[in-house]
Amino acid sequence: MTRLRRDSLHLLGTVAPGALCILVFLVAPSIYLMGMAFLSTDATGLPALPLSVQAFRELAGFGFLGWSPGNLYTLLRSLWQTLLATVLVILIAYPAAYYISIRPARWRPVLLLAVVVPSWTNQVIRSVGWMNLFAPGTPISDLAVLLGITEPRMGLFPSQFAVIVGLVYNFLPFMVLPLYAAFERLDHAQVEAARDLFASPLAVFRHAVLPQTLPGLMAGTVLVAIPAFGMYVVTELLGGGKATMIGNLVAQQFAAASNWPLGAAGALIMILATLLGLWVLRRLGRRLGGDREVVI
Amino acid sequence: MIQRFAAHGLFTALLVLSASPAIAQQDQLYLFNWSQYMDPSIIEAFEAEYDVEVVENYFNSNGEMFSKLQAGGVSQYDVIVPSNYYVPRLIAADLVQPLDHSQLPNLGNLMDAFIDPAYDPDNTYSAAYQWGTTGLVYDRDALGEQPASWDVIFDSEVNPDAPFAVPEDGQVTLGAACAWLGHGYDCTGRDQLEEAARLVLATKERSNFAGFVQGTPVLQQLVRGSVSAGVTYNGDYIFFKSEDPEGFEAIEFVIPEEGAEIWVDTMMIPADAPNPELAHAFINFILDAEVGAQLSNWNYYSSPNEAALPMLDEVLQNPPVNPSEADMEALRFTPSLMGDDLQFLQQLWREVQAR
Repeated sequence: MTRLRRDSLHLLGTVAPGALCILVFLVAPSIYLMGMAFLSTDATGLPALPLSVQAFRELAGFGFLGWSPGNLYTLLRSLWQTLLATVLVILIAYPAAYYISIRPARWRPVLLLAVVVPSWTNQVIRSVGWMNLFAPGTPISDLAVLLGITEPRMGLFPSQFAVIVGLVYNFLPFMVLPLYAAFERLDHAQVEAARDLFASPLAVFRHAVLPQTLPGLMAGTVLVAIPAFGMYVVTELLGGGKATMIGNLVAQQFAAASNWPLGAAGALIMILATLLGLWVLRRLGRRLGGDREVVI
Repeated sequence: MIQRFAAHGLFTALLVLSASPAIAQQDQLYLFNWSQYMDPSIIEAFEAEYDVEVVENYFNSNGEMFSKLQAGGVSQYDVIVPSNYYVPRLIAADLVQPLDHSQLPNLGNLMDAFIDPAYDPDNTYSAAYQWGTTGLVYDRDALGEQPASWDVIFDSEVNPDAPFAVPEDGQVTLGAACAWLGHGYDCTGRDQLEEAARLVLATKERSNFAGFVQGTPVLQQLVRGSVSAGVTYNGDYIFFKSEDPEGFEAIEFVIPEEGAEIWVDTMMIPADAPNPELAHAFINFILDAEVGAQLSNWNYYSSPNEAALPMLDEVLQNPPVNPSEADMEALRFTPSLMGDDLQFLQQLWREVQAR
């Protein structure tokens, strides 16, 4: 056996399983999805030839009623709810991760575990938990009524508020963990140096802390924003049709509405929006990081 | 049709590569049914008599069932239980196979109304399983005694602040809206449907709208008090009420006089069912007079089985399980839609959900 041949076999043996996985579980379904998006529907709603852009027309809002903005609202609402949830998650996770990182070493694993453990429970069960907390007549809802936030006799669920709470709660661990990892490696000498040079607390954060924790922040943002954008369970259970996101629109087309081409077209738009979002985050990371490449 | 298969085959071929097809076993029957709808002891009796295992899977809406069949279920289930308005659509989509009447001697037990029904002439593809109605359910403690009307859902003066929900099934909710507007539950005119959709949109904007909830879960929300009104099925209502008489004491079920849904759920065999012979045996078993009576006595829905009638419990003889004559006049079947009409309704409903 020649050396070249042995090396190629070796390469094949190590690379092939991974490549096969990617091919079968990523490339093939994506091709299937793209093909599906360009089919039309037959009289019973099943996907059928000829190829058409019917699904994309419908997605853009063109139908029997002329143009209507429902799907556009859904897309914009998805972006808005994702942005809001991500910002809130950052605001909660940043101090939390910092706090954990400055605890005595023996406490840190316990605190981290406390952040992570809830996410071992199924999303559906945790959402149903919020439903019970926010239902009409519960102390939290009664308080909201007293404060004039909700109408009398109504609960905080279902509402957009409940959806945002559900999203923040669901994705918090995914932001805390990478931020904690960043804080743990924080070079405190830089912070002290900034203080010695009379930097204001804001300036200390901006120039000494933020650049050091930026990789963690970026990784966390990707881990939170992308699944939040495609969220289906939380909006379905806590939104009551008032906070529908594009994930729900897609899921409905593959379930009750039975319009697979439209669902596939929606999924393609989601993928494109996600790629666009990643690109924006990358640019943002580079700018905030002082032109340093922040790998995400 | 051939075109559809070509397109479908091409793309499913890719999936088949990764999915291992379910292995059909001679001694198993796969039943795809609504939840809370089959007496477990009937299943046990069938298993004992035929020495087989019955595997039960559940769905919560006709749309969900249709999609599962489309996604490969057509070769995974032996018996499915769709409602009348999905029967023509399943037939046109080639997702079901004709019944072999020679294997169904008990088919003659069905009442005249269910022999040769409009949704499936000559019972070529389907045999009735159970029938029932979809009406208004509300909490008397929250809303007071109300007349039998959709006002509780659609009139903000009758119900200004008590939380209410409507079904996710667009056809049923738009039908109720159409009925309240005076066009009848089974309206199909595009202008009428559009008007109904605008009504549902306006209803959704009201501060006491509590979301889209299907008939079975809405009963659980009613008894918990998180909604005060909704739309549900007569049999599920009686079923839950008999389980929890105290909790349901103030919860009323009525057939709104403006019009509401009457439906028949049917037994059908998917086109590529793994075990069609056993499926026929099962359908025939259910159509047996005694088994039919046992089924209705368990799930509190009306039996389409003429021969089973003498064996039904008393609760099944009275309203709401057995609707009064006045109720019967208000009840209509949900129209079966296809082609442009189906797409029109789907677009309308998508718009209602998206805004």
